[in-house]
Order: sequence, then structure tokens, then C-alpha cells
Amino acid sequence: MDTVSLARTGLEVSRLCFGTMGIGDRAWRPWVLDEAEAVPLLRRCLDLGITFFDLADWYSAGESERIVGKALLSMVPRDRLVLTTKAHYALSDDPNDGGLSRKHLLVAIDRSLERIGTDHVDIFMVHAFDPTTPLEETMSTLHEIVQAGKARYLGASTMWAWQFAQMNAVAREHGWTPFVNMECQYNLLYREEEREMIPYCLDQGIAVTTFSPLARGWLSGETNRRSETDDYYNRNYGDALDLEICERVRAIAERHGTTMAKVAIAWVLSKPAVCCPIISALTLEQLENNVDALHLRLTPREVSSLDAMYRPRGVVNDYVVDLPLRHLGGVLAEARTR
Amino acid sequence: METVSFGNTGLKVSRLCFATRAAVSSGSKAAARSVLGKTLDLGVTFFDMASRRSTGESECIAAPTLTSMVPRDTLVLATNVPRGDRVERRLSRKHLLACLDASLRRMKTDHIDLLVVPAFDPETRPGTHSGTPLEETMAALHDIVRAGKVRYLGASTMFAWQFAQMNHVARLNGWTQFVNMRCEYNLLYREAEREMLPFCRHQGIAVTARNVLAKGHLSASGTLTDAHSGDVYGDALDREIRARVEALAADHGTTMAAVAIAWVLSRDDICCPIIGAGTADRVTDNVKALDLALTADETAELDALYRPRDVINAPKPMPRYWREESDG
Repeated sequence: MDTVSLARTGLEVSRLCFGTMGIGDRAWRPWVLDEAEAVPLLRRCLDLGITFFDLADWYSAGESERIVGKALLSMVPRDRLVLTTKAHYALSDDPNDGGLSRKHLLVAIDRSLERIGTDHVDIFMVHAFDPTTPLEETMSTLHEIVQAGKARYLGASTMWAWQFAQMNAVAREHGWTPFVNMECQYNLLYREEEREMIPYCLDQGIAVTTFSPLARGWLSGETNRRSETDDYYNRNYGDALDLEICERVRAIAERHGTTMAKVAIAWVLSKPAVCCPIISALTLEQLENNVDALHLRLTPREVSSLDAMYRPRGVVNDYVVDLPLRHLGGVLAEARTR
Repeated sequence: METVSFGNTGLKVSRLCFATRAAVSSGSKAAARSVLGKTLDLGVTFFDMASRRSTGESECIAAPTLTSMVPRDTLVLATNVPRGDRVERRLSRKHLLACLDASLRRMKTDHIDLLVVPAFDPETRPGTHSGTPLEETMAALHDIVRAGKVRYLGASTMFAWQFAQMNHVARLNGWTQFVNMRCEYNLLYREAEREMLPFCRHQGIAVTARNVLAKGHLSASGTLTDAHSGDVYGDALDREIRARVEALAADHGTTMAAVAIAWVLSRDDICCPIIGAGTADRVTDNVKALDLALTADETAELDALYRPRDVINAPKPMPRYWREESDG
């Protein structure tokens, strides 16, 4: 597998990143894989050339980090891996056990490192924006974490572009470490980040990594344990236009004699602003199929035929999860007549 | 008319800002005098000379007419510099300074209260070195303020990240920042609610809303007066929203324009709606919006139909950034 520079940094990462939200404890989400199921999958990732793994403390409340860290570090030397982790989401009812305060971030990074079994992560990310903590507090603490050697780079996920730009502005104004990575949701059914976030990241040389290339499974055309039990699956996607786009994906897949998932991932790979799509899988077969998207070249005409169907939709992030539904009502009631 | 603080500045402005374009469009000084006189009588002190096509005209006629009727210091005069087509909207130091001096000459005043940069430099593309560097623009604007030619800076029609970045560059260098964002905002176009309005709220930046009647689509005449508005407004959903405005206006025994402006006034994030009118009667109609308090149910009814739409960037609807790049 090719490696690419993480935008304007010296860090090299595999072109595909493997997301580990689906590994951990079934008590957390019913579709999650346990340790015995996950280990062969992680081994195959390494065999296929993936060196970039995306973790978070929130996934299975820490169990994901423990399983993934233990498995990967037993298979390859630490320095061969690029590991991320994230903090923000509350892990308990304790009011200080979440958010981007100095108190929480400093304890969150230490606990993550302990669970993963390493003395540093390569990218430490804020999982979302915290409107209650001053930006200076968050950015100075993140800078300290880098200075202490516990993280090599900083990243962020799921927030408004203005919030991300403002956090980076505060870091620059004080000479602190800025973010070099934005991890956001991006797929054929959800492209709102094209408006503000992606142009900002392009302008600033920030690496865009994208999750949910299959829109929680809608673009794979399959139903499985995840699609049946992932609450995001039905909440965010599935209106008439989404289904039409899925049909277009199916038609292109048939023409290439391949799977819908590969077409959907190849579409993300066709976007030059996306540094690394983050993929995942429940089975070895899915994993191999998803990675094989690297070998599927869509023609410019196919890409533009997929692009053309999109219409603006509500934003999905942690503050407006209900917005898409509210707005979809309007979209379904009345297609644009222009 | 109530006056309000202009964001987190010490400047006070009338709650409604008056765009002078329509008032001077006849070219007749007497007609302009009658409309502007009425506007002053109603308590408006905040006047916007900014408009794409007739800035020169509105500056030449409106500013001297206003200053002949009331003392200069009681007015808050805003103008749009630089103006014109794609090339003329470049934000280079040379061009900004030349346009500003021309505006001051036309307005026959030694200073402008609010200088609004009408758009992001059109040649600037993310991740490239094309266009004017933000440092050049922000340094030039700062020098203009230092020279006493302008009191405050504002900007219009750009993405939130671009606006945030320009202010960041100013802050980084100790230069004057923008205190105003002037954006398209009305019942039919609310995309600023995503990023721009929350950013401005966070930063204490005063938002002025232009095109509050959606190019006439939300007023009784309902005529779409130019090709631009026909492209952007007027689909089936827009017509449904318009019908609700019409029904509410009938309930309240007022004009559609008053309802549409009252809705903008009801939004906490908007400092001043920008109104415009070509006749004294229309001015009176628009100002009626200040006395029209919509109930929460009524604003909710107006809100409910909206759906996300593509971004509008003057002078023509802008294609999605991405599409433009990938098609090119």
C-alpha cells in the first residue's frame, strides 16, 4: 500500500487508515467485535500494508484502545505504527471526566497511553468542540502534552470550521502547537464539509482524514449486524435522494464487476483534498474488499455523475444531530425545481 | 428609533440600516432628498452606500444630501470598497487605497465610519499562492484606519473560514480587525446560520443583514427584478414560505415586507437589518417592522419550511467550491 505525507507534516501514513470504533466490548454497541474477532482483522490490516490506526478513548469506553494497542504492539514494533487517540466524550457521570478542560485532557492522555501500552500517540485529537472551555485553556494544554512527548502531532474531529479555525488561530497567536489533522465525516451521501472545512484545510495545509466512507453501511448495499443495530444508520441517512445515489453506486459497481463498497471508497479516494479515508470492517472479507478500492479507478465521468446528484443537507455534528431530520422533511416535501 | 451597540464596539447605530441605492436610482436629487429626509425623520442614522452597481452614484448623491440635512457626526456612513467586477474587487493595497480616496471625494467627507470589503479576494484559492496575501489586505486596511480615513472595518460575502482567517492575520500582527459582517440573510436564505452567525456571536462581531426581502420575493410586488434573483429565489418551497408571509401580513394588517423584516429583527444574531426603498411610502412601510412583534409560534411557522441550500455569493450564485475545482 502507498504511503502519503500527512499534508504539510513530515509524517508518512498509509493511504488508508483503519478505524477502531468497531472493536471493543459488545455491551457498548451491539455490532462491535470482541478481542478474539478483532485480532485476526488487525493482523490482516498489517499484512495489507495499513500502518495508520485511528483510536479513541470513547470507543467501548477504553476497551477498544486496550485490545487494539495490545494486539498491534505484539505484532510490530511501535515505531512502525501511526496511532491516534482522542478525548472529549464523557466516560462517566463525573462532570470533569469529559470535555476539553486542562483537568480532563491531562488525565485522558495518560489513561489512553496506559491502555494502549505505549508512551506516546502519534496524533492526539480532540473528538469534538467544547463550548464551555476557553480555547486558550485547551490549546495550551494540548501544547504541553506535545512538549511532554506524549503526542507527536495534534488533530481534531467533528466541529464547525469556524471553531476549528479559531482554535488554530489561538494556538498560532500564542506560539503553541496547531492542529495538523481534521477528521470529519465525508461520503457520497454527506458532503457538507466541502463548503467550509475542506477549503480551510486545503488553505492551511491541514490533512483531512475522513470517516464513514460507506455512510454507516448504506453505500455497501448490505444489511448486517451493524446496519441493524447502529442507531446512526437510520437517524442520519436514508431519504429518497440517498437511495437514488445508492442505486447509482450499484449501477457503477455492476459495470466494473465489483462491490458498491469499493465504488464508494474509490469515490472518496478520487478527491485530492482527502489525505486518508478511514475504513473499517466486520469481517476479513469486508476488509480485503475495502482495501481493494485502492485498485479501482473511477472515470472522471463516473465521479461527476456521482457528484451531480448531491444536494445540500443539514450538518451532522454533535450539536445539531436532529437538524438533518428536520431539514430532510423539507427536502422530501419539495424537491428543488430550479 | 432605537439605537443599538454595533457588536462589541463603542459605536451606536440605529436598529435599521438604510441602503441608499434605490433612493438615488432615479438620479434626481430632489427625489433622493425626499426619501432620505423621510428616513432621517423616522430615526435612521446608519446609511449604507454599498451596492454592486451604483455605489458611485449613491455615494455622490446620498452622502452630500444627508450631510446637507443633518450634521456629519450624527450619521454613521458605510460604504463598500472596492467595488466592480472580478478584477476590480481585488484587495491589493494599491487598489484599496485608490478606491477609498475616490469614495471620500464622491461623498465629500473626510472619513467613512464603516468601510466594508465586499468579498474575499476573488483570485485567492485555498492552498495556493494566487490572489492577494491576507497580510497585504489587512495591513492596508489598518493603515487606512490609522490615517483617520475610516473608523471601523467590515466585510461581506465570504466563507466563515476566510473571514476568521482575515481577522486572525490582523490579530496576529496587531492590526485593526473587522467588527462587522454584512451577509445575505432572509427567510429564503439562511445558510449563514451554519457557520457565519455562530462565529460572529463568539467574536462579538456585529452582523448586518442584506437582502432581507430576498430581492423583492418577500414583498407584495413579488417581482423578481433581475436575473440574479431569478436564479436564486423563487422555487416551489420559496413560494410556500412567501405564502406564509403573506398570510401573516394579512393577520396583522400589515405589509409582507414588514413581516419579513420583523422576522430578521427577531433573530438574536442580527444587529441591523439593511432595508432599502425608492419612495418615502416604502420607507414608512419597512420601518413598520419595528412595531411588529411576531409571536414565537409565528416565527416558528416561518422557520419550519426552510431546507439547506447552496451558498450564494454575489454577483452570481457560486458553485460548490469543490465542484468548481474538480470540474476544472
